[in-house]
Amino acid sequence: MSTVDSFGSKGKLNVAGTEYEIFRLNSVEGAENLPFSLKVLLENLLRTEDGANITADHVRALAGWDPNAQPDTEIQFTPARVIMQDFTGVPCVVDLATMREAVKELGGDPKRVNPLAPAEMVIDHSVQIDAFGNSGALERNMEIEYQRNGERYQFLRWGQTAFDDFKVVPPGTGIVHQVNIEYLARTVMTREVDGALRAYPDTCVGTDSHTTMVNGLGVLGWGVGGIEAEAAMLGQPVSMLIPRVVGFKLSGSIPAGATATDVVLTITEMLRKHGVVGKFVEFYGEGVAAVPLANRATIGNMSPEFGSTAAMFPIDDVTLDYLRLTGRSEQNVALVEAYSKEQGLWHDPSRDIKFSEYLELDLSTVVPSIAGPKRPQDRIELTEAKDEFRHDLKNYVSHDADAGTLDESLEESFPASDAPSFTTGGTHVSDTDREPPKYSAAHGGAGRISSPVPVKMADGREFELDHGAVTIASITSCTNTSNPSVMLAAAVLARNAVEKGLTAKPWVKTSVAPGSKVVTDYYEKSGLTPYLEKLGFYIVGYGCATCIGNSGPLEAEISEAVQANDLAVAAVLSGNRNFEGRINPDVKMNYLASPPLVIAYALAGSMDFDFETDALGKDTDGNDVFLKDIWPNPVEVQQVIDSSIDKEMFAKGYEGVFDGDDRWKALDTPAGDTFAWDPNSTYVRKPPYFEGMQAQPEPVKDITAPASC
Amino acid sequence: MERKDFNSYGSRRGNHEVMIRGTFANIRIKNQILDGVEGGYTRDFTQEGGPQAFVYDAAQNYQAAGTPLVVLAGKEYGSGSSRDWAAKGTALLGVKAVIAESYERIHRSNLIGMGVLPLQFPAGESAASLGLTGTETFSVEGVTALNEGTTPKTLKVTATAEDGSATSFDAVLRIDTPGEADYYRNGGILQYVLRQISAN
Repeated sequence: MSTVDSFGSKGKLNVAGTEYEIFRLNSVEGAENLPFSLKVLLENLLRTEDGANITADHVRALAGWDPNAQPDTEIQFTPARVIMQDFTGVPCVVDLATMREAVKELGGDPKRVNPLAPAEMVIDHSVQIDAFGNSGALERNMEIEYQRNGERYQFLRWGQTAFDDFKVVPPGTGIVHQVNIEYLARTVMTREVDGALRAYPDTCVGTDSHTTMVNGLGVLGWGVGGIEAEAAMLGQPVSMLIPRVVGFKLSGSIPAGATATDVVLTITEMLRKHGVVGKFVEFYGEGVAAVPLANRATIGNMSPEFGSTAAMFPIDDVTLDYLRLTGRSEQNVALVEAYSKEQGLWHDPSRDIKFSEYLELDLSTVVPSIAGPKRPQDRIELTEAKDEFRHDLKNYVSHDADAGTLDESLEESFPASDAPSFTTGGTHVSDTDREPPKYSAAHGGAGRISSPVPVKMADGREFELDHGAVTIASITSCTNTSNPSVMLAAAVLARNAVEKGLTAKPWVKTSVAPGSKVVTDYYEKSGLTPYLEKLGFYIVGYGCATCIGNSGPLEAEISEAVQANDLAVAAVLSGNRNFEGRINPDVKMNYLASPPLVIAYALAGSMDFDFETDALGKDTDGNDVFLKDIWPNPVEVQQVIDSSIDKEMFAKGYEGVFDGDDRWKALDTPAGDTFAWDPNSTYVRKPPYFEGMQAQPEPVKDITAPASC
Repeated sequence: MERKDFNSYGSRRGNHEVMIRGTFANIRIKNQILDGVEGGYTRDFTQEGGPQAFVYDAAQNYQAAGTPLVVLAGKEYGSGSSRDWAAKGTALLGVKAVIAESYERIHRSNLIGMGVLPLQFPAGESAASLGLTGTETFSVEGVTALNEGTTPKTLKVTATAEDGSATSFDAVLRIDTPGEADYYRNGGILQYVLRQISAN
């Protein structure tokens, strides 16, 4: 750590009787008017200056940042902590475990190998949705998850006990980024260094691209590869270029029909168009104060989809209120406030910050949207969704002769309204000679490619599938399940739908997979859970689930029908990414949408649906019910938020979070300072990085023949 | 194992045996040492005539023969989103140096982190412009200067073709910081940190 301090920046800050050692930014000329995110980096350099890898010149280069320059100066950033998910995090722990043995072989004490920067892992990537649509789904899915992943969990459980500064949030708790904002993030970090209690901006790298969600809380961080994460964990810096910073001004407020999800999809489209790869995006201006923290997190979350390295919000009263709501200690909150104000990190819209590029969005212009069928930046206004789907469908349905005659006829007729007459391989069904089934995804299919396939389920359900059938509707992902405004909008919409007598279509795999248990608690408290369940939206697990492709299989008969007839069916999910093949192997078209729209599409059952003119069903009096009839009133949603979410919920939800449930505790956990590898394990093996390693490095040698390629 | 026990590829990232076999195994990758073949293949010159082989199988044979490997690459080498195993797998396959036209920034530093030397063709040059086909035998000289605490700007690479003709060029050594030189001298970042820990 720092041994140099060329700028004499080291000083003291007293907060409510506690003295903290800090590195003052005002010791460096030029620091004052830097964007928030660069101030955080500057403090990082001041604190870690060592005269070799991190020098006074680096500090000066950053303080003298030219917004118009192209990035060419490399700096070394030392994150305060590391977060991991279990897919990419396991190898990091495997390497740490292997290092312990190597130290032992070198005659050292294995217990000395520990993360030097706190490392926290949340097991969120393993749960799959095998069971759904019933009250036993959550338990069943967890049972299967433990059966599949027992070896990995035992290993992590060993790591949790063996290492200092390494903590594991057991499966069934939540999604890493949501747990990060609700519990793990400190915003201002403290750590004892050489006898002094040091305070510094919380920063992190994570082994997952959506690590940027925590940017919403004023914490600079982003996703990195495993080796960088390991380096950071071992106290080594991550190299980066001083970036360009794009200033993004938010103004106005979200209109009644739109949601935070629509905002983030709009921003994604804007930033993709603008081009922000390799840059920081920073939100600024008067409008920032009006953006609730949950929306800041939703926006920060999708930074990888924008293309940016980070998407930062500064620290203000909204940040402090969220820290209090989520049960952070008063001491922590007081430190965040005092430290931010002392260091010029507190949001001050009057300050004239120069950015490299400027963008602006008036939130009142945002309209309900979805994005797809394969890229998050391909935003579609909901009013255009049916036409766009019909247009995009042509890219997904094979044009070979065996598929039928529909393609040629459609090329002639599209977008005319009359259905061409056509046949599909072996399943010729014309409108005149069949009894229309009660439920059909081909309903209203005139004028588009259609290939109705009758399906009979083992439990007696009968319906027709077709291209565009919504086979998966999932309320999923940290992007949205962290945001009570959209989660409760979904619940209110569910209530309104149930009260009108609407139901989800029988071919839709419905699920809710929250990123934290707090969601379940506020759903329960709001009394809206039964309505979600009535529509099939039962909780299936706490983890990434559908969003990362752990959607589990479609029901067998549906899967067979889709495959046998090469149907281009759809998933609608409140996720953040949707490239083809990501969500489910049977599903070609994936649409991102807000949680209330996910439910709306489960009711509609098809992407070939115009919510303005097509009815979702009939009420008990036989009247058509449209989306506008059940759309939640934002005033009511806010009332439900205010009456259903409180501080105790977070405090209780995260109490003993690292201890886990009975399943976790019951794991047969190997003890010992080193791990007893099972040579037959197909999940964790000891890598050979340190075989034959000596205490002193061998001199490096030329690479000589015979070498070949 | 049985099909039902597959679980997911991602859940096996803690098993290097699986991940090494997945390195250079992208089904769209085209190794220029072969004509127009897509997938994780190379030529195995430990065998008579250097037949086409899986990268992993050939690498195993080279390791058994004690032959270090070099990768010849193009521009922005190492680009891609999920890269936690890209450098680890490269190192475990026995690759000691990469010579590329340019690097994706993070992959370059990860290669050093795994003890693999990142070299760059002289400005404006490439494997093609130098007439290299990958069938040559390579040597890299000047690495030992790192033992004296200096980081040379370039290293001399000599490629000797099957007919005995040699091509030499000064490759740019892309060890960019003093910290990276320390990592490389130690065989990688993990070894560097490990020695720090056991020395203190």
